Amino acid sequence: MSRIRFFAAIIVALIGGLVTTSAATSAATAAADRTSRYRIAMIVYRGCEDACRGFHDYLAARKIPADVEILDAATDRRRLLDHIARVRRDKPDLLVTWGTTVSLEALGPFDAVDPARHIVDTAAVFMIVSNPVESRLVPNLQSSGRNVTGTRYLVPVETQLKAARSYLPFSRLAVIYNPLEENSRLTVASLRRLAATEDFTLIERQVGLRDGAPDPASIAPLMAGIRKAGAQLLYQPPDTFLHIQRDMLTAAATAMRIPVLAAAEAPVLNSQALMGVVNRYYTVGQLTAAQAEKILIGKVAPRDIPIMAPRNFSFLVNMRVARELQRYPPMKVLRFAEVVQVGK
Amino acid sequence: MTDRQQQAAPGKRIASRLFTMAGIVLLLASMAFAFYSAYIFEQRLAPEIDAKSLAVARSLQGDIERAVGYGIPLDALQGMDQLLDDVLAGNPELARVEVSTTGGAILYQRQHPDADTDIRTLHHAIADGSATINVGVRAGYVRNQLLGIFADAAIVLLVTLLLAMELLPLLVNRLLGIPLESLAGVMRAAIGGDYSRRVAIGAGGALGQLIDLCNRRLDGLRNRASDMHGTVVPYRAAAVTDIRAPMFVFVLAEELSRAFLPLYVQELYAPIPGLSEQAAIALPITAFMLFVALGTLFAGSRVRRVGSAHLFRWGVGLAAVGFFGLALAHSLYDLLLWRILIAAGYALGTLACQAYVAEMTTAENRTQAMSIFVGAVMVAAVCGSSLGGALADLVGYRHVFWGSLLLVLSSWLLFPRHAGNGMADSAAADEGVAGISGYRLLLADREFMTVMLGAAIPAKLILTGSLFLIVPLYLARIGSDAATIGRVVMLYYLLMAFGNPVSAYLARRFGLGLSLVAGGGAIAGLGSLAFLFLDGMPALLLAVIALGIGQTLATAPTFALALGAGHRSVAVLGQPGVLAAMRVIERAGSVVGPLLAGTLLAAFGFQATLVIIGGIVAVAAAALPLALRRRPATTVP
Repeated sequence: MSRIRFFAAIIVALIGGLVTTSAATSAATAAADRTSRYRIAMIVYRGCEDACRGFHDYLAARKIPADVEILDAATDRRRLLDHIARVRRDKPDLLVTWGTTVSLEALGPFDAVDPARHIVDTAAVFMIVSNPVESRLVPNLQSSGRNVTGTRYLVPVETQLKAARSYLPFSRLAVIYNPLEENSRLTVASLRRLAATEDFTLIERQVGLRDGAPDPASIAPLMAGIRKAGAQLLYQPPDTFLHIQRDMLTAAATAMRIPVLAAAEAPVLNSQALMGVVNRYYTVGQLTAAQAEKILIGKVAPRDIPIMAPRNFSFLVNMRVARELQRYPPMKVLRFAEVVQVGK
Repeated sequence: MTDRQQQAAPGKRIASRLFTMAGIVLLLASMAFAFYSAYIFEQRLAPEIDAKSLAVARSLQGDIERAVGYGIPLDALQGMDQLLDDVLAGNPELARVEVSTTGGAILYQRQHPDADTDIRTLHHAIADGSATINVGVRAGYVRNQLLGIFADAAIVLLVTLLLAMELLPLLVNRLLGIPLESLAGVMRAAIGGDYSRRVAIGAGGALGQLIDLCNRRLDGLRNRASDMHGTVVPYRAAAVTDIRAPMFVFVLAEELSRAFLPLYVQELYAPIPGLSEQAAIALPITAFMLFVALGTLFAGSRVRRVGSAHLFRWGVGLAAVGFFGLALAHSLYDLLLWRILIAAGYALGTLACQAYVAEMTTAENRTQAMSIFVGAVMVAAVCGSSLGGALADLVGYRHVFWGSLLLVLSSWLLFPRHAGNGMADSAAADEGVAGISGYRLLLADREFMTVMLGAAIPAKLILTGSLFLIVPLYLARIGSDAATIGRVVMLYYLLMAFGNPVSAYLARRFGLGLSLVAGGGAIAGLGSLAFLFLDGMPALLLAVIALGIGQTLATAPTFALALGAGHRSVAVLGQPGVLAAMRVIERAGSVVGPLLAGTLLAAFGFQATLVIIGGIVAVAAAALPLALRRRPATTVP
């Protein structure tokens, strides 16, 4: 009797499984057979770099039927406004914005959206925004409260400093920043808070201004000043001006034998920053594409998708600078660090 | 029944022969097993350790090659000390790790601070041949692991043998000894012309047939001899040793929790106003000791009226309820209640066993028979503390109490059915009862009380305060599991069990009464001073071993010395009465001990508490000869 019941249960389970599988298959086929592929517009500020490539590769790997149109502002505000106008007109299935400037121009602050200026009726995903909450893109990281979601890319400053200390113990940390940029001011504010709890002295220097714009020529003299103040490490915040000047900034620091800890990856990958505790842009791009997948395939409303950050950060070490400064990373750091510029 | 002593002999002989044989078989089997496991272990362990050490070296090789590959010079690697220290910390079998150049110059080296000199070094070169990683394996590591296995095996062997020693005679007696003796008794009576008896116990096989035959023959004889109007007396041989098994099982139930009770209490601890946490944890032990003393005191005079079997039933009942509650306890308060119930049960149960011995013996052979009693308690303590600790690790504290419940209940099944029917002669039952006036007399007896205060009470103080309370708590603090605590406590009982006959012999042969009492007390106390120089397990082992040796030397002579010192009271109350009163008076130390230890612990910590209590005991012991010198008339009987 019990044996019969057992077989009956197996048969029911098999039939159930078959029905479910065929239903899922037909749904997938239906998705693949869509006559129109998803149209994604991506507005970038400085061309298609690693985050943009990570986004593309994720879509390809997941075989998501989508065409991504890259709209490059090439750091030009007028061109950016043109792209925004075009997206408002074309109404693609999804908009991806790159960077704080692009995201704010396209989507507006959450509490001051202007339907005449901002994109409101297209689902949007932002990436590479340093401080989405502080720059008022979203009210909190759980939900944007509107047709927007996104990803974070900065590792918390505290985590960056703690990781940096496992390489170079420091008690005097310097920071140079552009007072005109909100991102930089926010970062310096959190550095001030951490100075008390993490037990270090913060040496702050603002970039000099000339005609209301930051002056690249002011950097070299600042460097001499922070060296005199006894800085053991220089922190390069996520600052657009310094990002552009990263070659000059890191070269000047290295010449003064001050190692640089960068908040972003480019100064370590391409310039002379000694280390960076970062989320790789490529990884962030992949994660952003995963958010896009939730919206397009999963049909989840963007407001219901929290702003995500990659789970593990990368500890980048620039070996060329380490050799030049004769400050080799400890063996334990080498076990998990991503070493770059080995042979250069 | 004057032939009791002869009756006991054959069964005992069979049992002891069987035990010897079974013991030898057990011993050989256990030893073979221990050696075989050790052999297998050694065969597998040594290559295993070499393989693991080489894996460690390969991992280091990977680290170094990566760093060198990045262009870091071999002699400029950063954080190598930390890396190597981590390797040492994660691999206890390694004594040293170093990196040297091919030329032999040591670049980096770390070693254990307490590394022994006996090191076997394995070498492992890095790929480009520029350096060698040398891993030093402790040669003693395998040896130490083996020693640990042997120690465990020895303890298992010991407990197995002791259990076998307890259970085998029981089985032999029940199946063979008692039926045979009963048959012999009936036939002896018949030969003497008394046909009234009938064997009242069955047996299997040929023996059973024989008993049946004998009974039927006697029935036939009785029927034919119609002039015999006397009633038929069912006869069943009884021996005083019958009490040993139930006694053992009964005490074992309580001893199972010896090693971990303070830890169980600690789990249930909730603040009690006006009492430190440590004193609160001591409370259940104190309450237990207090109620055992009170129970003994008040039930003692009632033994005669109710009989030993009835009394034992009450003891089992109370203890069973107590263990049941203890397994389900949810706060310190109800735990206290359960412990008090168990204490009352324990007092009644042990008293019942003593009463049984009194019922079954005459005044002449009673003292010797009482040693059955002491022996059973000691063996139960040795087995209980180690078994209980190991069980607690396996199933958790609570579930061990279910085991205790089971043991208590089975002790009732083992209790001799024929006991406690008012067989006791009045003299026997009257013994062990000093009465209120008796206690008044003893408490006023200066010499007697000097011995009590100098030796008997401090002995109990350090036993319950240090061994029962502090030792489990301290060992748990330094990370020992319950099984280890059980073994440490067992060590004390082991020394007591095997040392007692030695000290009794010394006292008898050389008349060393006072010196043994004072010297033993001093040793027992001074051992705890080890904590002035040492710490952790070594210091604790020294203290426990000294306690065991000291008390085993002092315990038996203390009774004799007290009887001698209190000879005037003995003249009034009689020796058994004074001895019984002593057992109650010395419990003052048991009651105060845990509370004192708990309070000291809260104020000064573990080490200081052990040192202070040890100091008190040693000073009291040293003062005893001086205090007694004023009356050199003290004699040791």
